[in-house]
Amino acid sequence: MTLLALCARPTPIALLLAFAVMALIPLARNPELNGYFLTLLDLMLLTYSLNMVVGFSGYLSFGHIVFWGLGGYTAGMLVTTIGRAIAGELTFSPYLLVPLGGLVASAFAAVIAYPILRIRGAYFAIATFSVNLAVQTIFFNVPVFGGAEGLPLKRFMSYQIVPAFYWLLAFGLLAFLSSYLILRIKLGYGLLAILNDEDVAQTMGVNTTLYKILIYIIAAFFAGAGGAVWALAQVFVDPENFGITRSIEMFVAMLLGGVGTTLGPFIGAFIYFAIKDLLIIRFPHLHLVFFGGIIMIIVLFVPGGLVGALRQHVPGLRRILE
Amino acid sequence: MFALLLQVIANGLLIGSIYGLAALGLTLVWGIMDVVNLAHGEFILVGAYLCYWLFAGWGISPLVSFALSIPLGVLFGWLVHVVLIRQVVGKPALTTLLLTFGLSILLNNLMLNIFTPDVRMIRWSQQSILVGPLVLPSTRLIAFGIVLLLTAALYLFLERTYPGRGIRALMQDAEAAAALGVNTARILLLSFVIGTIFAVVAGALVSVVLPFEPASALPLAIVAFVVVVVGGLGRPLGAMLGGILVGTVESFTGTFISQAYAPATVSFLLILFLLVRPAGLFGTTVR
Repeated sequence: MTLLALCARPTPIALLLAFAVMALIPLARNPELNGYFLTLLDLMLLTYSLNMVVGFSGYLSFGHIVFWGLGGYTAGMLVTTIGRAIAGELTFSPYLLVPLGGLVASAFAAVIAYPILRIRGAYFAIATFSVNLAVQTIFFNVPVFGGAEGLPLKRFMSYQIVPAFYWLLAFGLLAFLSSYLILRIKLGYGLLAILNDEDVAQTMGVNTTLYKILIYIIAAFFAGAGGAVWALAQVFVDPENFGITRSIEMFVAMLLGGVGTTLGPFIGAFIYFAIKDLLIIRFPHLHLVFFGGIIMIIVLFVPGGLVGALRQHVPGLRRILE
Repeated sequence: MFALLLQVIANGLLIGSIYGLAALGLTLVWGIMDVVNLAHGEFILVGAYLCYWLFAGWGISPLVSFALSIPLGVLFGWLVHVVLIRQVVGKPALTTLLLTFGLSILLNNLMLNIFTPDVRMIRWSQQSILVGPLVLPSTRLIAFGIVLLLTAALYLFLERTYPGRGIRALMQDAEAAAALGVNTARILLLSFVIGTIFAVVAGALVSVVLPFEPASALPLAIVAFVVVVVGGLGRPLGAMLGGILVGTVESFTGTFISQAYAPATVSFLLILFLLVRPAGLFGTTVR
C-alpha cells in the first residue's frame, strides 16, 4: 500500500503511462521500429544502472560496461553449454536465462566492490576503467569464451526480437521503480550523504561502505540483465560487448537527461537517439565527435541536464520532475 | 637465458622511459591542478600523428618532428587550458573527469576521421646496436636519449627557475603559495602547457618505436595513469622510475606469458597499487 502511495505522484504516473504506450510498439509488426526501440531500451536500462552509481553516490563508474558484457557472456555461455548438452535448439525460451546474467554481474560487483569502493574520485574512475580492460582482455584471449570471434548462438536458438523487447521494457520499468524507491528509503539517504561528503557521513555514523556496496550490486544487476537480453537478441556475443561505444552512449544519455534524477535516464535515452538520428544523416562518421562536444558543453553550462535545468529555471516543475 | 633476461630488461627500460615521459605530463597536471586529464592518451597521439604525417607525407625526418612537437604542445596545451581546463580547476572530480572524457571522445573520433583506424608505424631507422648479447634498436636509443634530456631539463626548470619554484610551491600548498604572491593562474597555465608538451613529445617518440592507431589512446592513457600511481602523485622522478618499472613488467609479460596479456597485466598492477600502496612507491601522502 505504501508502495502505491509513493507512486501516486506525477513522475511515476507519467513514466508508467509512457512504458504502457511503448508496450504497444510491437503490435505495429514493424521489425525496423522494434529494432530501433530495442536499442533505445537497452541504452535506457544501462543508463539507469549507471545513474544509480554515478548519480546517487557520486562514484564515477567509468568501466560500468563490464557488467553489461558479463551479463551478455553469461547468457551466451549458458545457451551454448545447454545447447551442446542437448545437441540442438533450446527447448525453452533462452530469455529465461536473462535474470542469471544480472545475477552473475551482481556477483562480480560484490566481489570487486569492497576493495574497489575504498578508492575515491579519479582513482576509482581509473580503477573501474582498468577492471573493464582486464576483463575484456581475458574474454578476448581465453578460448572457452570464443576469443576474438565471440560466441555465435544461432545453432542453439532462433532470432526473436519481440520477446527481447518486452524483457528490456520490463527491466527498464523495474530499474526506474527501483531508482525511485531507493531514493526514498534509508539506502537513498545514505547515498545522498556520501554524495555530499563521505567523510562527514562516516563521522555521523552512516554505514557508507554498506550503502556503496549495495548500490553497486543493484546497479550491476540491471546492467547485466540488459547485456544478457542484448546478446540473445543479437544471437551473438563477442569482446566488443565490453567496448567503448556503449560506454560513451550511456554517459551522454545520463548527462543529457540529468545526473541523479529518476526521470533523467528515460528522457536522456530519447534525446540521445533524437540527436544521434539527426547527426548520423548529416555526418555519418563524425557523430561521436559531436557527442564529445556535447558532453563538454553539458558539463560546463548545463550540469543538471534537461531535468536539472527545468527544475532550476521553472519553479513550478520542481515538485513534478524527480 | 641470462642474455634473454637482460634483453627483456633493456626493452622494458627503453620503452618504459617513454611511458615515464608521458606520465610526467600527467603527474604535473594532476598533482598541481587536481585535474585528471582523461584525454591524456589523445594528447600523446597528437605527437605521434604529427610525426607520422610529416614523415609519410613530406618525408621529414622524425628528428625534426621531435623538435616541432614542442611548439605544437605549447599551442595545443595553451588552447585546451584557456578554453576548457581553466573553467573547472577546483571543481569536484566528477566535473573535471567528465569534461576531459568529452574532450577525449572528441579528439579520438577526430583522429579516426582524419587518420583512419589503420595501425601506423614509422619505418625510419632499422639499425640496431649490439652491446654484448644485447640488441638495442637505434630508434629506441635515440628516444631514450631525448627522454633523459627532457627529464633533466624539467628537473633544472623546477629546481632553478622562478616559475619552476612556483610550480613546486603550488604543489605543496596552493593557498599559501597564492598568499605569498605566486601568480596562481599563470602557474596553472604553465603547468598544463608543460604537461601537454611532455605528452606530445612522448607521442612523437612512441611513433618511431611502437605501432599505434587512434584506439591506442586508451591503453596509452592507462599506462600513464598506472605510472603516476606507481611513482606517487606529483613526483616527476617517481614518474620516470615508475615508467621504467611498468615498461619492464610489460616486457616480461610480453616475453614470458603472452603479448596479448600485457595490457591486462598493467591494469592488474594499477589495481594492486591502488589497493596496497595508493601513495605509490615514492609518495608519502594520500589524497
